[in-house]
Amino acid sequence: MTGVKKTGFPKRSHPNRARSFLVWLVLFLFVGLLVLDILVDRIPETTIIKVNDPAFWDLKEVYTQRLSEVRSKGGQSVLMLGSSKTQFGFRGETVEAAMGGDSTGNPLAFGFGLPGMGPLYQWTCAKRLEKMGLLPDIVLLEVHGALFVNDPGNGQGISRQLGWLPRDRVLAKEWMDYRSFGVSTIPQGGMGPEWYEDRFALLSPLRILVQSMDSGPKKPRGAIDRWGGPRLPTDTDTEDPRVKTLYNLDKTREEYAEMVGKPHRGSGSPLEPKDVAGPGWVALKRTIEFLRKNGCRVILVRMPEGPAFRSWYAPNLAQVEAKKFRSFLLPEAKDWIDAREWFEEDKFWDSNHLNPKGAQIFSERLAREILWVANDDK
Amino acid sequence: MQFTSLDFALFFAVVFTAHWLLPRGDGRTCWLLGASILFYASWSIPLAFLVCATGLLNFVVGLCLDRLGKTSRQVDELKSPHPTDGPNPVARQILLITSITGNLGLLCYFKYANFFLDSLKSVLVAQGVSSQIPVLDILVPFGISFYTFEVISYTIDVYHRRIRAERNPVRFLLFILFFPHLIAGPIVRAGDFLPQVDRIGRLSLMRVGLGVRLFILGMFKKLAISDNMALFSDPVFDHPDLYRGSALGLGLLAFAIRIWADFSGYSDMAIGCAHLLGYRLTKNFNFPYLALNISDFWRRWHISLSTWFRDYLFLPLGGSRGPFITTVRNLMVTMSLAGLWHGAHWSYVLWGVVHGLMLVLHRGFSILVRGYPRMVWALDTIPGKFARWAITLLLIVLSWSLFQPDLTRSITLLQRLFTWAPGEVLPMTRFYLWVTVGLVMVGHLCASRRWMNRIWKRTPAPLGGLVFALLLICALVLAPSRNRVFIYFQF
Repeated sequence: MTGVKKTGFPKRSHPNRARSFLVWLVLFLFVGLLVLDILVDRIPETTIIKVNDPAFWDLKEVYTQRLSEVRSKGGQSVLMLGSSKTQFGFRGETVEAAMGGDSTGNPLAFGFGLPGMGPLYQWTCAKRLEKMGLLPDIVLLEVHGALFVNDPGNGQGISRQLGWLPRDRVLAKEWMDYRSFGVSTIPQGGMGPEWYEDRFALLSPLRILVQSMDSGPKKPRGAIDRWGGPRLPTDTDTEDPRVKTLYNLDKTREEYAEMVGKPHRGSGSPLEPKDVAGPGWVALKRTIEFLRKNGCRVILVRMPEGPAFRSWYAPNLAQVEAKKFRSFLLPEAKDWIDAREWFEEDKFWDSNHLNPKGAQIFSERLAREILWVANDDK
Repeated sequence: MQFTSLDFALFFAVVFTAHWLLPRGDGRTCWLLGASILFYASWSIPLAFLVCATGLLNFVVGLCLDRLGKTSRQVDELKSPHPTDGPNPVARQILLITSITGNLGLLCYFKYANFFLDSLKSVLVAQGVSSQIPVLDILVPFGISFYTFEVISYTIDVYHRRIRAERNPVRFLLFILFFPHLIAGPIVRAGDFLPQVDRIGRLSLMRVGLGVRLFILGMFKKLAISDNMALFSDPVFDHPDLYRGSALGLGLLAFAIRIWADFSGYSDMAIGCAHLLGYRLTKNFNFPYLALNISDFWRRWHISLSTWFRDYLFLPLGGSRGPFITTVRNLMVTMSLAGLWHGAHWSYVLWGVVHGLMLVLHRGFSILVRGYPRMVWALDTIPGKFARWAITLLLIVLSWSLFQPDLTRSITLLQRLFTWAPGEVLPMTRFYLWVTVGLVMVGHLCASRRWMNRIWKRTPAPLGGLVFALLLICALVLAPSRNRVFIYFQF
């Protein structure tokens, strides 16, 4: 204690100080989280989306501008809502031209493709667009068979469906919707952070530092063309390493093999549609109903897959899916475009994402199909 | 079960509560051992059995070494400089060699078999011989490099009679399997750990406070610093051929920060957990990026490993006692093996060799400089120290380019960095990288000073609580969307 007096340190009882430290730590932790929660609630939702989901916001900005131009001329608008398959496969300019578009960009064909967009996130995006008054005349909804197959036998179904959900970009309020789709817990191993997700989703706006550093989507901001597609550093179908790196394509085949092909390897049989159910189905059905209620024509598009990718499914999956999709679309059950087997491997980067040549042909054919579906009503 | 996961938080809460509720003695030891086995089994049950079995085998070897020496009662008095003294010196030597060979054999099989087979295949192909050498499908046990070194050090210490062989298998297995240090160290010595098992008394709030502080600090380093720096370094290390020289330099700098924050963060969390359970583990880091020379760096970086190599390899080889050429040989052998310890790839070996060469150069320079007192004086001035620090840091950062499992990518990275090749820029904002670099360096400078400790002791408890609550909140808020496992888990 003499030393303590000499250096002028306050006389303390160390165990008491340690106890006091722990108590204050817990208290400040609790108060800190509470304060952050209150602050976050005061931030407008659009600001939260802007910060927390910059990829969505960037696309929305371009789309808003294009849509306002077309609306001012009374033109028609087509929006394709999907994942990176849409991002790479849907060429808006080609669809516009094939639909008889003029030089002023009427009709508008816009690809709203965001990596990792499964049916749950499609629902979220549709709701956000509706709130912002940005719903188009026709919505093409990308559907992906693997996301709807629920195989409870090996417990992969739900986690596969939720695997296609960029969890860290979804707001806490939006999570509440998912609970009504049957999502009770957040599975491990999907996209986004782990255990603090639930609690700290509320703190999303404060992750501004991280979001601007995060290379997650591998898409530098501003690299979107007027139709929502990526500005690729190449216009050829060669395996350009720059594209593969920027968009993480060199890992996707491996990831999908893990996600889709696991039952194939594990059980020795392809992915079986034993139980086509789960949150994915519910979300898709609700999205269709929601969009129709808001005056949109909904067309489901089963995106192209290469032979390697297709081999992971049981042969009868396509029929089961088609039947189910059509039942969703009633009474307009024909609003269903199955492009799954349109192409061979040479039109893909990785058996899953279309390369520029594949995207060009796909978009031309898709436009013809849209016209056929739309004209069939008359 | 990562330290940053909810699973671990729940697991630790149960272990901590039950540990302190149980009466002192074997009950607590058994409980901690059971928890440690469960912790390991959460990754792989068969591998948990393997680790237990090899641990028990080493326990028996220790007992045999003790029995054959017949001097265990006089260990403290004996202090013999000739460990082969005793009635069965040859048998003890054979047992020691068998034990070390067996442990290293297991390590080699699990960790290095494919590396050696690949190397053999490459040699055969280079000679024009076609070979059908298979790739073995081996699951590498987590932390095998760490616990192998722990059991080897134990066996050698028992052989040299520095410690007595442990008679209780539960205590011995706890020394090997104690979950805070099991996966990625620090590498503990039996002489430090085993005496603590009996000394665990009542729960000390001071230790709990210290443990909590260390755990939060480690979590901050891992989630807020390391995982964010990975966003800069990963693209560069994955595709060095795509990025321009400046991007490669920044990526390398980010990796230097990342690996420090990742491993020292893990060590802090491990030491913090141990404190919460009443144990004290070896300090593993001491502000390594403040090192003034490469020898200094190795006294500050992964201290438990560097001291292990010093005590069980470098010194037995002769250390630096002989002529300069012998010291060079000893340094090169030690550092090459230290490199190989990190990973079964030539790039890690080369990393070790490069560090060995730097140590040799430093030693040569030190000898040379001794004859020039003015030079010694100049190097001790503030500008001299700054120059030594800057050169050391530059060399260390450059050497991290080899710290990845692909030599071709390392060479490409260095080649493009030194030729300042054109290419892509980093897609992220550099501002945050520089902010982190600045914070880490300021943190190093402040925390390494003694006055910092004095300030902490004078800090009122509420302020201390506020600081650490903010650190924890920042760690959770700033953690990027993709969680990354600790780098040293792979070793």
